[in-house]
Amino acid sequence: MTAPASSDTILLIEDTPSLQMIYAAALGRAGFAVAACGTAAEGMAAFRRHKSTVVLLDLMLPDRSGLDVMHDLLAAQPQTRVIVITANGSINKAVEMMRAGAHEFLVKPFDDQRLIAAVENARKALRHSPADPKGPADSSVPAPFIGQSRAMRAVYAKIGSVARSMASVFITGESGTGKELCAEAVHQQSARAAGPFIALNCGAIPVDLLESEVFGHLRGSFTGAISDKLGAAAAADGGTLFLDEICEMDLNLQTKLLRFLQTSTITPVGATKPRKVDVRIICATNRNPLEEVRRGRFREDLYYRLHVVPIHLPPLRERDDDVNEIAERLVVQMAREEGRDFVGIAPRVRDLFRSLPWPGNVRQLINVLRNVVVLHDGPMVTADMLPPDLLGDRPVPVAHNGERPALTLGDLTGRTLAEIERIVIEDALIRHGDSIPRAARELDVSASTLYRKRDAWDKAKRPQ
Amino acid sequence: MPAIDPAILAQLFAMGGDSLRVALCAQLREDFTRLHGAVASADATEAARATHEVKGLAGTVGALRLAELARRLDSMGADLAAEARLVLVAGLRSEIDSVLQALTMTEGSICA
Repeated sequence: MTAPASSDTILLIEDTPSLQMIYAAALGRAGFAVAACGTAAEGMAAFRRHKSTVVLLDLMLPDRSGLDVMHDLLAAQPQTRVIVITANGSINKAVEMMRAGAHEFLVKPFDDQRLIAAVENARKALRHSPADPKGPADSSVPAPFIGQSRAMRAVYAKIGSVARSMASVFITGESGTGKELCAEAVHQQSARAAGPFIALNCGAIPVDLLESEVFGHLRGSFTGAISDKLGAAAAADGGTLFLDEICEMDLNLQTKLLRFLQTSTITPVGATKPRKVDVRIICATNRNPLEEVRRGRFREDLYYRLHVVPIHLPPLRERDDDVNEIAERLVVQMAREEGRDFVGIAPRVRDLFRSLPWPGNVRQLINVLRNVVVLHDGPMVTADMLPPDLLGDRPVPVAHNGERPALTLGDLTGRTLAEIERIVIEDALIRHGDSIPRAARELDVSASTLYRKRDAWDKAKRPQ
Repeated sequence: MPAIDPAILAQLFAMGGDSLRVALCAQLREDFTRLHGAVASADATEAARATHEVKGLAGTVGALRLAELARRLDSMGADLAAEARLVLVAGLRSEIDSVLQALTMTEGSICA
């Protein structure tokens, strides 16, 4: 097959001649110029010749693996959209391909409409892609995330890698870890950033209404349907649909969602004709999705459709000093909002924050800080400002409650007077929940003395 | 159930004119004839590869019974005992024969 030499030429690398003929005919009929090849070597030569930006690539080629070919294609021209073609049995391989940068995968057999939709989606993504796309390993912090811990840097890199693909993203993580922020970051870095981002919490909507919320309905299709309703899937056309708490979705609706993912069409409740939409799906759960599959509460085929690129968000307690970076940033922001003059977090509170388990993660931290900023004034957040129930979560008690051994003379023997003074003051501060005024009263010194001493110790700790 | 679903084949033929139909019929016969031999190859890798190819091709052209047989053989793969494998391969080849017959008849009706 001869094709015009332009980057608009769709490159088809498929080794079964009949299938090559069928796919080329379908694409040709839809108005695409096609260069068809039967081997990896021919395909790479045609790619260099045509500089194709959309490539249909069969996974099993006679001379090389599709994965290797895709690496070469993306290395030569990173903006290339590779649509992988595979048979059912190689679904795991297809997942591997998506992770390696494939734009989409098609499972044989598929009809001409599905093929054309995939190619059109790829071309649309190219039109929306930035002139200088970020590389797959870009690990800069995507807004509005805060934190540079190793665990989060890995998450940022994954967001950067997956954003340029059409692959479904499955976000897992405890409540409050920022799953929706993650979904938004993927959307914002993708070629669809100019399109809508629609978030739907499957757990917050009654089962009876969820189908209508996702796929929409026509007026009169059921009692109470007084007007046509555009569902979330249609509202997200050209953008991203984020389905939070996906494991809460009813099994019947899961079947419809699967059909939607397979055909890219939606049929609103009460409608007879399906409508084609171009939507990228990102979903999230705070459960273990595979366990939900084992328990029969989540469809296995839907799981494999959605679980193409998993992103796990670490809990706050596993994010090193991110807790303090977030707290410092938020407390200043909240102070501005509430008309307070907080400028930061006291060193003792920083230590305390690092030691807390934070079962509610960032959401809990935000609530704690809001509580402090509303009820107190600055300039620093000190331990005595923290809500008492927060201290109850501490794994290592710092208040003198009997679990912590009292200071004995043995602790002080052999130390200098300055060291003994510091040990005694710090012990008093711990027993009083880091409250300097209360510790000062017990030690019968002025609070300013303790502030001065602590500042001196902090200064001595800091690098010169 | 016919060896090839006529509705699916008709959809494929509708993508072009007579020349495409004739060329596609000829190419399908050539591919299925090649695969008829390859699925019984003594080289296990070649046989597995051919079975995988049959699965994708048969499903696309509406040879649904053949696609299912190929899917079964492809998924069981190396776990099959030699004798069971022979039985399945024989069934697969017999079904490829049926598909080839159906294609010959279709080709005849196009050219008539």
